[in-house]
Amino acid sequence: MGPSGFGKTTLLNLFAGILSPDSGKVTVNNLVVNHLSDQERRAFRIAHIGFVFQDFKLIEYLKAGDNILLPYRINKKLNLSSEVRNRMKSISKSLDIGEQLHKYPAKLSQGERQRVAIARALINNPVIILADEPTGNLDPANKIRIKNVLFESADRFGATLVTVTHDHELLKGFDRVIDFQDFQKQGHEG
Amino acid sequence: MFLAVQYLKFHRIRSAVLISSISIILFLPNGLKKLVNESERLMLDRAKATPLIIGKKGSPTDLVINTLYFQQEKIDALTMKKVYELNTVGFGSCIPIFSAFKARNYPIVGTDLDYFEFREILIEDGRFMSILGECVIGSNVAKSLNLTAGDSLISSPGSLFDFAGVYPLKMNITGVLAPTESPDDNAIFTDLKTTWVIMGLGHGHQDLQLIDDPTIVLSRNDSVVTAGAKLFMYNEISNQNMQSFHFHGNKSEYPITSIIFVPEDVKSETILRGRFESGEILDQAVVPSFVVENLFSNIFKMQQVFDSVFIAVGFATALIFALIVTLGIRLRQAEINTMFTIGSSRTKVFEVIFFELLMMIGASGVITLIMYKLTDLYVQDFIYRFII
Repeated sequence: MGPSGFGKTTLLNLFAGILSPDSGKVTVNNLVVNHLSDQERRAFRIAHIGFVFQDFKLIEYLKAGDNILLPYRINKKLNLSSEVRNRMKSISKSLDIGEQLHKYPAKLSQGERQRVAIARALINNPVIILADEPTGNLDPANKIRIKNVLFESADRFGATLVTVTHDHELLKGFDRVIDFQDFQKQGHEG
Repeated sequence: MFLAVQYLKFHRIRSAVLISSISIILFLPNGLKKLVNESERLMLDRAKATPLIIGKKGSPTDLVINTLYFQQEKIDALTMKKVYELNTVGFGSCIPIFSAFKARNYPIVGTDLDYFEFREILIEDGRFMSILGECVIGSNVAKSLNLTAGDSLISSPGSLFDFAGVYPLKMNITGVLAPTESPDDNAIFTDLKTTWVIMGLGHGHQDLQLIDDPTIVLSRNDSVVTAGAKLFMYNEISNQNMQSFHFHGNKSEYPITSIIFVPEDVKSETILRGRFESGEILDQAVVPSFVVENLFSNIFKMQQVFDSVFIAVGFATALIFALIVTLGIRLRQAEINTMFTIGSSRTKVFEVIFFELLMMIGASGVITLIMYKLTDLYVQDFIYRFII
């Protein structure tokens, strides 16, 4: 956790291999991400990472179901089989959006949109779910609901949940919390 | 491909507007060229099949348009005297044309039976007109107005010549002409006398010898009977009242709009034209094909201007299209970033956009081809209905 501008999102981008560090290395699941080529990093993201964004980042012209399947639509290496479609339905049902799959994002409530975004993050069985301020735009009731959904999903699908936030309420229940302000102090102190 | 289709489907109105604009821009220059070329061919075919037209001095174009395509442009009328004069001079035969009235928006053409022989027009149903008040109709008139032999048609009041005595006359249809794919399909043919009745130069009414009513017969002496406005005028010619129809004045002074002159040979045509040009014979003799060729040379000059305009509009459309695509990509930056973050390659993202453009251009191309095909199929019908 930490205030805005302290590099929380940058850290997530380093984990995902979107950004490379100027020095040092990023190891995820025993894989040194910043030693991989562009293509390998994309493959790594698709295979191991699930993203949940603060503002959902759903594609407006795709229905909820197709938004969840987006990783399979944009990567030729992933086979959009009936098994994947069944998994999508199963995840959607568990997130209580099973009846909303035929709707466009604009027709969904905020909470439903966030759950569609979570379902998209889970569709490729990720080992890590990276959530960037996942409750940032939500009302208190939805915040609790989404937090529970994230924890339940991570538990059910055996994924590690990494969340960056400046919301103290969200921190309860996490095994480990790193405060970026402490990081910075240590950095200044050398 | 899936994403591109979904994008176009979601933005269907925007996509449809873009596709329509591109299709129209692609179609218009060649479509217009096709229309002009086909119009020229059809008009020239008919003009070449008509050796000489004689009419009052004035616009040769209006004379040709009136005589060949029955457009009823305002032209000064000849009189039947010219027909008699030309018959006396010799060199060929005359087919008088009086095209000045309409019935239900189709031109009524007064002529004689030689016209049908000259144009090689056959009757498909019924027979040619033979007595006063009868007419035959072109195939399109029959089809559009759902008329056949045995039906009737009433001439419209008012006319090109706007004489006071233009009465609606009920004409009996005796036949439907075989299709000719020419303006004859859109015309109603009757004999000259019937057109003069429409004009008011001939009429039929109650027999004045049998009427005693002083409000109808105002005065009577041995040679002159004066009738009042209450006298019943017939607006239909039937076997019962046909005898009462009569014409006033000298028939050689009766109007016609033009004469189709069919010369015996080229030499006769040349001599006759020479006499017109020298002023030995008054009025004008025009070779229709020269007039039509001249008309189209002017249209082609105009078409060059249109072509330039189309190129400019096409260029502007291409720029607008490029602008829309560029702005679209900018607006979709968040979407592109999301795809990239999730694991898409940049190539894949641009592949989606490329397919969208390809589908829009492809759809425009298909629509343009369909429009070309429809133009090929219906251009003749369109020209006959709306141009000639």
